[in-house]
Amino acid sequence: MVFASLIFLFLFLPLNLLLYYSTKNATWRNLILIVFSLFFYGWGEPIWITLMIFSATVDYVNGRVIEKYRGKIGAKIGLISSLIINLGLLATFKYSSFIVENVNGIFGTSFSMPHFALPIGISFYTFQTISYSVDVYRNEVKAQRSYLKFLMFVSLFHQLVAGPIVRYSHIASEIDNRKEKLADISMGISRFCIGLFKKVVIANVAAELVRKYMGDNSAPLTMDALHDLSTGAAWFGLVMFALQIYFDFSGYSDMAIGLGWMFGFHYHENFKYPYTATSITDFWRRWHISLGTFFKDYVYIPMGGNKKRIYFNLFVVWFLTGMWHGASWNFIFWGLYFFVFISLEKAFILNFLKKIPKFFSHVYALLIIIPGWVIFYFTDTKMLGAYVGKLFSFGSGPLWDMEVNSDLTANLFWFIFAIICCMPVYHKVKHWFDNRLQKPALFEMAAIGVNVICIFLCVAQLVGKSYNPFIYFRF
Amino acid sequence: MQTKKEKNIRIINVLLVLAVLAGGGIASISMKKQAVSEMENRKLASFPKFSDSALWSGEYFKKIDDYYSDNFPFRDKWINISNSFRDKFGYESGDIKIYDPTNDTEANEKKTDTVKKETKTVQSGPLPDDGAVGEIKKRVFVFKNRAFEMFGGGPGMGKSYASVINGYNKLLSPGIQVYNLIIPVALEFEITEKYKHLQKPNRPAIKNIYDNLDSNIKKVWAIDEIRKHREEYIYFNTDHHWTSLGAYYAYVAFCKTAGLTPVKLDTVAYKTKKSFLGSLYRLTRDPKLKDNPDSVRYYLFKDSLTFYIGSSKSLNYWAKSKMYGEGASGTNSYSVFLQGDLPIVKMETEHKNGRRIAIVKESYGNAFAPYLINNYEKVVVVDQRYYTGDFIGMLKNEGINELLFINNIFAAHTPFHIEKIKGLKK
Repeated sequence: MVFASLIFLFLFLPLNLLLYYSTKNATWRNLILIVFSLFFYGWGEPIWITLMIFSATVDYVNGRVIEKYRGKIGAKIGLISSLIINLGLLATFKYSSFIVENVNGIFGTSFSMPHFALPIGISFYTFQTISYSVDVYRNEVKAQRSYLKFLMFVSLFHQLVAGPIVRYSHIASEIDNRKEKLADISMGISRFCIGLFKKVVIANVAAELVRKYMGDNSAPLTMDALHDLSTGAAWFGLVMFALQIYFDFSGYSDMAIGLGWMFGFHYHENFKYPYTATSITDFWRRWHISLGTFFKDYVYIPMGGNKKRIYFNLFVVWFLTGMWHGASWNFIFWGLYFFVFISLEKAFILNFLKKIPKFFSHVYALLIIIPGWVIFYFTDTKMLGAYVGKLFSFGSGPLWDMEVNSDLTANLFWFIFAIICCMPVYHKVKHWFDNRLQKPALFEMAAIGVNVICIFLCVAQLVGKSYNPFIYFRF
Repeated sequence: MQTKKEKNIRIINVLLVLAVLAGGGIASISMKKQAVSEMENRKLASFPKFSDSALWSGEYFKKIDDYYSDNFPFRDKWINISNSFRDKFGYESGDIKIYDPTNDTEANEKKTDTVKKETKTVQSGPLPDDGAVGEIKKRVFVFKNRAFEMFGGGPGMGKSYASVINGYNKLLSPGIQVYNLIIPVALEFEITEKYKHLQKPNRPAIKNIYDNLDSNIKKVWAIDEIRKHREEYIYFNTDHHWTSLGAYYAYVAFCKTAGLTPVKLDTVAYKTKKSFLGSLYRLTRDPKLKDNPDSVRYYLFKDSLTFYIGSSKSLNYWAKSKMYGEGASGTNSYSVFLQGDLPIVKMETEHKNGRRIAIVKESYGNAFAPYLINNYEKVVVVDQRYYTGDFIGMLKNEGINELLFINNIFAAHTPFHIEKIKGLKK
């Protein structure tokens, strides 16, 4: 199931909230969350529930083993088995055809290609359980004794299918003993509505334009269609994709965080206005934060971090970051693209950026980030090359065409609004109400109106719109 | 600690949103369901049948999702809200709308009822500016109480289309004579100087395709024949298709190319379906279009005819049926031709002249194909989008010796269609 669907909004969510709050018993509440979460997951891919429960069970057992044999060889075995099984699941279900294809390509072998449909959310829940096992091993968190509670952690529908990657240590106390507060529920609802609006009114609209200029899975761009594209159209499509992926993914994170609040969980923020970054280093502190910190804490620092072999460490981290996004070379190129800029920034660019006006830092960052999305978008490297050629072919083809012109004007106000939403307007407004006006209650009151309007507009958009997939379902 | 006021605001927020969602949920379950959406011209999804395999593949739940959104309370109203909300996302380049008296309903009716024999000198490019003003809605140009799609395809796609047709020619000639006919869009004949930037002129785009086709493929210059009759009722006001009259002029052009004598229309009886509001009305919901509905005329040829519906699954399955789907009505009226977009149909006539043609088409071809029963012994019509059977085997099986690819200019510049045509060979 997806959040931005009518059935979720009008049946699943209210029913879940009503049942959850109809009992005061914590165990019942956990059970209700588990049942709804499994149902939520099963709605899309019933068969893969088994895989998720398998992964949860393995890590539950490993966590207990690690704790029981702390300091002994048994703990190491527990950790290693958790790593092997989780990474093995990823390797099998996400990367096997990619690996076989490349092995065949390099060694001229002809192993038959395995074809697994990628189980939804596997990239997220395997990382969550890995972080659990490692944290238990490092004695940073106690192993969960209750299997039900652990299953709840893994299966929580809020973040199960598209993140953020919630670490067990962040919500350990809330799993055992959480206090749902009215303020949180209310805030959660408001946060959810904003996320829904970002997804439905901004990302989905951008997606239509992306599809038109850059193609998509159901109707991929062909060389001939690309040949007919003007340079302006190519840029327009790319900017639309930059908007789509940000509002899609951050909207999803907003909804996840809001849902967490509604049920007494506090997940960490996953986005902090990434398009206002002043460098690429800064961008990755603002974009998909839960993934960046995962690789930092579990790969980069254990390898030696800034202390030794720093560029090699960076290379590994960015190779893996790219690869996490998909089993295809373009994602790896995309990761390495950032490796190059982050290394250069560490070497000298950051020092230089400090000396120039901030405005230029913003421009610099966007000029790297936005073209970077083209690498992310095209899994077919030939198309990727051709599209990049189009982007930078000033003069050799038409620069601009009527089609873009009319798409731009027909969505101009929406476009300006979307760009404004990339900036921290919400926080500025809230700050103004809270500190300048000294009327935080007024802000919450206004939020009620905003919530109702958001729901109203989103429902209008969702009704009869069949085109509504979350991009991050692919990972 | 929260103040009492804050507490109240939060309670209101939670209860209000919850009431909206739960209330909507209850309404969605308890309200009566429609079966068909007249507005969208399609059957609404019905509740799926349960089966184990559908459950495990996820198909069952996906269908429940479709069912739920198709049957959501006040669906039509929500769609209207959504449309008017989307209209506010920007402005349409163009002008403010004003009523254009030069083309009111009365004038249109006149057009509908008479087929003009003589035409004045034919304007080849855009018409001179006559002061009429249009507006763009949902990428449709609303002009003179009519709606037009705007063509913007590029030469790369045209070339790609041509190479697919060439592929068939290389495979089938000399046994089968291949023809190609590209249908221009309505706006080509109505555009004025003022708006000529709205779309690419059709003739150069068609010429580009024809130039890229093998020399032994016969090219049908339907655009030139249709242009001679640009003032007649050749395209619908509210639908993206052409009328049977527009298709007739393309047929005349085809006959010239194929060495045939076209049937004369004034001797043929016809029936008419009135008050047809087509796809472009459904898309734009423009009231000016609603006041300018179309009529669909279909001709009842005298010659005896056996009409069959075939199947993608078997070359030998042919079920007898009728050429016109006379039940088609309302927004569906264009489906009268060949009963809509069936994957494959066959017509056998009394003209035992040894000429057997297959037509590969999208929906424009539906209005065109019936004319050919006046000239051919056998006419097989394949819809490139839906036929998945053994196309080449079918050509052999039916003894086809001529093959016509007929596409509107959009389809000939759209990867989807080009791929579908290419895919018939497999």
